[in-house]
Amino acid sequence: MLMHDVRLALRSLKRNPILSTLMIGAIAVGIAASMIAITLYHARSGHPIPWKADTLYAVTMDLRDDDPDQGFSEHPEYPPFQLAYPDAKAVYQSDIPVRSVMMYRAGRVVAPENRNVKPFGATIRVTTADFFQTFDVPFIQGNGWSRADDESPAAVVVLSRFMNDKLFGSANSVGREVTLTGKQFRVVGVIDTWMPQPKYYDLNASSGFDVPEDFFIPFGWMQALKLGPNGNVNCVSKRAKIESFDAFITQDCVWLQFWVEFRKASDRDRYQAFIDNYVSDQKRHGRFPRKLNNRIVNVQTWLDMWDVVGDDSRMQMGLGLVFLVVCVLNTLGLMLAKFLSAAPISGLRRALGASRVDIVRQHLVEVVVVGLLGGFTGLLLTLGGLAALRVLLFSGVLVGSDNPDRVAMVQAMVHMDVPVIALGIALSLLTGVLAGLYPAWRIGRLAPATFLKTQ
Amino acid sequence: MEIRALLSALWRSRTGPFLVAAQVALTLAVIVNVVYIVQQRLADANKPTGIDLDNMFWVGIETLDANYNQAAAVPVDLTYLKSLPGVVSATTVNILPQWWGRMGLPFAANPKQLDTPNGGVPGTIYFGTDTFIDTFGLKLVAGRTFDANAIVQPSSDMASAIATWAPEMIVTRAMAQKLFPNGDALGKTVYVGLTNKSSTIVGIVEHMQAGPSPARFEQFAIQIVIVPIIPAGPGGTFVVRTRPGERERVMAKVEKEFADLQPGRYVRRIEAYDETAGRLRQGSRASAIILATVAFFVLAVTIIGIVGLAAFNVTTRTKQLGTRRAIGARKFHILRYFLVENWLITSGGALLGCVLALAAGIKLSTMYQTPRLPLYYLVLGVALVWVVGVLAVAIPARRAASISPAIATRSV
Amino acid sequence: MIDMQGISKVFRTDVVQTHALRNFSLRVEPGEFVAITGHSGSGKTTFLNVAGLLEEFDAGHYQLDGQDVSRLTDNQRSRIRNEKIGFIFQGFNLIPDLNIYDNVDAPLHYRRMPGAERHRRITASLERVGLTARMKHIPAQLSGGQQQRAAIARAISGEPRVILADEPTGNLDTTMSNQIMELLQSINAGGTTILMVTHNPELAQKAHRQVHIVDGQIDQIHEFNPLRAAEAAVGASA
Repeated sequence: MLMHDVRLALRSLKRNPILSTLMIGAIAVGIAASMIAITLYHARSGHPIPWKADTLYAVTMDLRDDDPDQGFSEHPEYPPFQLAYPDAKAVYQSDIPVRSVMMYRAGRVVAPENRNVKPFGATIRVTTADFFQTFDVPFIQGNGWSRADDESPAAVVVLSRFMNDKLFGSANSVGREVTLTGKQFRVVGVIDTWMPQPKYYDLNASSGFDVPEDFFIPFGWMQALKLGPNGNVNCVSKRAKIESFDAFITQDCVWLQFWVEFRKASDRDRYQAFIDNYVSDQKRHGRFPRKLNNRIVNVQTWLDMWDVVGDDSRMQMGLGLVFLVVCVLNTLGLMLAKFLSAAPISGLRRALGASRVDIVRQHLVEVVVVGLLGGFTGLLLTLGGLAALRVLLFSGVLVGSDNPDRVAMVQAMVHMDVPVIALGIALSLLTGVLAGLYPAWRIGRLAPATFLKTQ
Repeated sequence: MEIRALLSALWRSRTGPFLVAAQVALTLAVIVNVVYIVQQRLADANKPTGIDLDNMFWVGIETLDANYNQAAAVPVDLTYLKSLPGVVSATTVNILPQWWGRMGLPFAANPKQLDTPNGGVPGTIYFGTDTFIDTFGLKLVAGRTFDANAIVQPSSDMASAIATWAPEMIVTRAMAQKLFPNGDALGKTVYVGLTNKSSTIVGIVEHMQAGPSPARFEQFAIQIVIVPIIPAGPGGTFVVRTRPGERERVMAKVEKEFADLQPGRYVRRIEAYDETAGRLRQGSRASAIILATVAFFVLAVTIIGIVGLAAFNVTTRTKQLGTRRAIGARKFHILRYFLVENWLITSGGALLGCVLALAAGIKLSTMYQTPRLPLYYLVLGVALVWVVGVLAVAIPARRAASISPAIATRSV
Repeated sequence: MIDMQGISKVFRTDVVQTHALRNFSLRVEPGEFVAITGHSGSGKTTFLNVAGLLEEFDAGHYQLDGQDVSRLTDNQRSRIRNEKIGFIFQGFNLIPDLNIYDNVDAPLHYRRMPGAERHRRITASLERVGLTARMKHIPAQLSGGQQQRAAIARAISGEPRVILADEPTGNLDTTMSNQIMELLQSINAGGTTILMVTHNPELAQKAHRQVHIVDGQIDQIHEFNPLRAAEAAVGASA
């Protein structure tokens, strides 16, 4: 019965090639626009570490001067997203979190052992030891370092997989040496390909989507090498003075990212109290003039505060869905026209014994077939559209870089994963049904005799 | 023309017309807002930079030499670059203008202003030599470029460089006006925030843009302070301006020879400046293309809807149209009937579309903090809908008009 | 009123040529009520189309109300149909989305006529056919007989010189058929020439004379009204 209806539907579509193409085309284009928007939105709105949703937190403190905001930011009520070194150093001592991470990004020139490889500039993350376990970074060789290594500081380094391939040809490199502008570091570990989407632990660059750093070295090198930050530095107090590097790190300028992980979710409130107490204490020295506004936020809230999704993604979603609605209306009209034109055939069938339900069912099957064909074509168009977008939006990102991870990252931004594809199929079915429900109902409602009159 | 009869006939079979009107409404709302956004994005991306990008390139030099003498190397580098045939001028910079990163500090005419809330004027800072103005092709409207003696030698790092500062500065006119609203900036002293430093304005340039900005932040992008400081290095970024047509040749030569002026150096990167600026704007331009494409397809789908309804009407009304001709309608009357009917439907849709467009426009302007949709966009949108509607219905209408009156006597 | 001489109409396709009318001559005097009969395919519909200027003919002469209508433009033909001819169709051919008032109005608004005048004519026609009460109804709400009466109102609202009726009672039962015939006869009594195509011999006898068409040519002419017989005979042999 169903196969028969499907065959009838296909024959009916073949009989009106132009009309069928228009209907399927309208659905396809609408589905494609929505799916592309959904894909882009989905890529930006994922939670990168859901298993630590309630135990991983970013630490922020409101160090700003007590003056009305100059209107740079959309949310002047948010504290700065980074900490100044004196505060980071102080709260790092707390034993409430099971792990604390204090870190920033720097840049240096690398001289490879292999003379055939030109020296190159690389990004370095200068971080305390807990980084790797806090963010669940996978290792393929060796491991990280200890808190003691932060203090000394030990001349050790962890490489990214890309950097390991580039310097040592993906051989086992634990124990070998790397020179970062004149200083030698010993490799203690190599991490696997690791690209959290977004790069939530440091959102200061490229709208939050970036490959991880090439090198990781212990935090103690910040002072030992006077390694300045390569990211966002904001002197939030007018009393800050810039004189030298050593003086700079004592000033009220924020440039450090600070994360904590708790054993259980309830520790967060204890930690909040600790931070508030610290800040209240600092007020006695004339720092932190504003009222308490220290936010310990989980990853989701953090991403919302940074608005990683962005207005553009939201606008694109709105546009895609409006487009889909226009396509549904369009297809509805075309289908209504088609069914009404073919009404005499239905009347004939009714006269020959088909019931109203039969007719409606047969038309609904045709509607679903159109929806599925449109959806299938739409998914093909989506793939094509996403490929075009990859070039249009991201080709600039790949300039001047030989990092295949970057290509993979760009690929991930325009990638339709299984849930999104499933959504696409569901959407096309829904579209077909929405477009066809009313026309099928209208046809079923008409009395057969209406069509059989010769007039 | 019996509009009343037409309307009552339209009302009696109103499903088709309502569907088309709804599509027209949504399409109008989409197109009006998309065109507005695209126009804004392109305007933001195409604002003048004041820089002669097409004749410029930059080159980044890195070195591994721990004993690199930045102070000695930079003058040698600049002399070499300036001596190349085809080169107009060259300079070194700390951060490239028209780049993703910027550095800025507050500045003020009165040092007390730097201690007060919101005190001082935020300015983007560029380090350069006395050839900065010529290299970037800026127009000097007052004063002079830096004195060669005023150029500060490289410090050990950025913080120290800022802490040392320089005795002279050149500012853009926008910056000068903010600092000295009475218009007498030349020769005045300016105090620098977060340092206990000051310098004298020795020159004012017409216009320079640090990077593309949305309208509400545009001011910050054109308030620029240039100071004669050689960056710490080691190595550095050099900017070169050539005569028209010479850039490719000079770039090739520099890429081959420049690094080797000192041992142990290499070129990190070399790029034509207009390409750099283009990459910076790639996002805006791409999103403009995407939005325009979507708007185009929405319009195309709605046109299909209009044509579909009209063609359907022609088919189902064949007998009726033949009869009308039989009782005396001319081809022109049939044509006019279809055009007016179509115009009524699209106008109804356009009316609703204007409401939707305004609502969406308000939402978008709040979201992006841009000025509200100007009303004349709605007028243009409705005009577009009318024109498109007429063009879409033209062929079905002509087919309708060519229906023979003899159809009336044909049985079934 | 109608003077056709040697009319010939050929339908050509790639494969076959059909002579729908051959050397067809007919003369109808003003005020006559003529019935046109013939089997299907005999050419009576084609004759009606040609007579009503719905189609052009290939050879011969045709004068309608004293005017040569042989070679006219499409617009000119439309104008004459509008002003001089009233049509009545077997299937009524009312516009389904308009009410009766607007249907009757249809031919009038293809001329330049002030609104008051149109209103006067429409109400007069509707009264004439007895449908004043149904002015605001749409055709679907009317019986077959009422629909045909509305169609007749439309045909007479323009005060045509001749009415061409194509099987006007073909879709109606006996009672309604009689009603319609009475109406037509009454209109004819008022001076309007009527040509009626029918295959019902009973109805054909209600006309003044009957013209029988076979294979595109006039086969016989029957006179039912002796007074007219002589005039008709003179006309037909000319």
